[in-house]
Amino acid sequence: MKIRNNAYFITGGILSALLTVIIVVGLFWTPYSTTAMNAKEKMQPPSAMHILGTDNFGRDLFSRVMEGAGTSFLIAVMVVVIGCAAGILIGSLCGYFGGLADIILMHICDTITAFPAILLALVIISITGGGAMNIVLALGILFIPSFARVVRTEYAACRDLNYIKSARLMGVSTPRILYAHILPNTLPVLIPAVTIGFNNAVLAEASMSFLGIGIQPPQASLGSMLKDSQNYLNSAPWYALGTGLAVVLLILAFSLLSEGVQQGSRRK
Amino acid sequence: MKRLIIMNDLILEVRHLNSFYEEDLTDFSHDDRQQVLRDVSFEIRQGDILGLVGESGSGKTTLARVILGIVKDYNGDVVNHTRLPQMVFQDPFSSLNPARTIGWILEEPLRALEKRAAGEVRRGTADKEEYDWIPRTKAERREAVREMLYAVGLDDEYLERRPWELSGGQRQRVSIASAVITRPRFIIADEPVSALDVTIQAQILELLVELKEKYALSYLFISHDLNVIYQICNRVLVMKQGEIVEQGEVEQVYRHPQHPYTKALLKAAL
Repeated sequence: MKIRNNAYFITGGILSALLTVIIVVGLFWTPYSTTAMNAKEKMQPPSAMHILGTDNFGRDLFSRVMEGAGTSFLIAVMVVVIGCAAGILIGSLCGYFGGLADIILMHICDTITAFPAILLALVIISITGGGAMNIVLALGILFIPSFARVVRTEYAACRDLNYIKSARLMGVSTPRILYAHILPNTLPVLIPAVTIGFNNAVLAEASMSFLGIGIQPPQASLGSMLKDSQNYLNSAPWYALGTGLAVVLLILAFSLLSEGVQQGSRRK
Repeated sequence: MKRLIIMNDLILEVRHLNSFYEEDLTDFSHDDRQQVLRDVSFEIRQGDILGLVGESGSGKTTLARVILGIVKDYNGDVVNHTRLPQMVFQDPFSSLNPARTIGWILEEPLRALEKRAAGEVRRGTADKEEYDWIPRTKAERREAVREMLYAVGLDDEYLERRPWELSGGQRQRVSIASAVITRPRFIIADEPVSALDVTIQAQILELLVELKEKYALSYLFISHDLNVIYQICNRVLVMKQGEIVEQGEVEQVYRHPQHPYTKALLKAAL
């Protein structure tokens, strides 16, 4: 499919690019300070001065959303990187070599998957304590099985195909067979797994911060902002709306992009 | 000490070969270890196209796998007098990596060979001169690939294409190219034309003969199709339930079959 006919790719791409720019800018500069309180300006509805309004401390919500989206985004990316890298490693070895280790590791993965992720993350956080790094680690570990599973299936399917047999005959080294010959063949399932994983990670971080075990104030994350906003749903609905909208846009953008990539790479 | 190299035209010797099914680790019933190959003996000489014919399940592919060292559960002698025998598979749709371009697929055997050759030279099991021809830079490899593509009747246009953009016959040409590009002396072709329609079959057979002359190859040509064997082979082995029931010159075997099974096969084919 030509790129200009790929509506998913175009909308997803534009949206993700826009959000990425906002997030990257937010790392260095925000219209207002994200922590400075201003009693005179608290709970203001959206206006030309504050396009998303202000919160109960008079902080500019757009600035807070910029920072919060950045926090959520970075955490989600790191979670996916950890989960994906470890998942590829485990999945490839299990799928390619099989055997007892494969059976045991996959059952461990199933056990982890059977538990609600948030609950397990809660357990890990209650042991290690909060903070961004611990959240990343806890969620990263919990995300390994979903990647290991899909990668393993692809490796097990490719292992006995003729092109892998002939690579072995040629004397191609096993690591090269694993990561130069088979890995590119897993991309059609890996790319959706990465985007779904990214979305789940954004939601998981938001849920944990919402429950108060994630990012701690004064640092903003979309989850912790949603938690704060629920107290003011009646008096300042824009607080929850603006923050919630940011979560939705973030997830929507990358889902659309992934769908577009899948459609574009589909074989005729 | 210089290694003693016995120069003769023997490519492969197989003596009293017996092979068994690989055991399934999860199956605890040890009672039937089935024998796949029974006392198989034959040899291949330089320039031979040795046909191996027999019905499905007669052990043809197992024999190929034993020769290549994939199946290790056997007794008897398999003496391979050549380095790096290659294999061409039946199904041209699974023998090329769908995620890679044709150019990459054909360069990969050269990259693997370069590494392997370095190891052999270091260990002293091969002379450096033997591998002098291996292209070592990206540009040299590309040139070798281009040359090989032309040799199998394709051209540079295919370098950036992916396997799924090619027809069955074109794919089989690429598979053959990837086997021949490492300059083997011996190639096992396992039903290389069985998945192709008749006109393409003839072209591929012609190509195999052409390459044999050009690169001094010998083949073990596995097929269940007696007509194909007749067209291309000079000698033939007839296999039944893991046993070679008849072998000899193709003309001889086809005109005066001795074994009842060969007679039945020929009758069915004509």
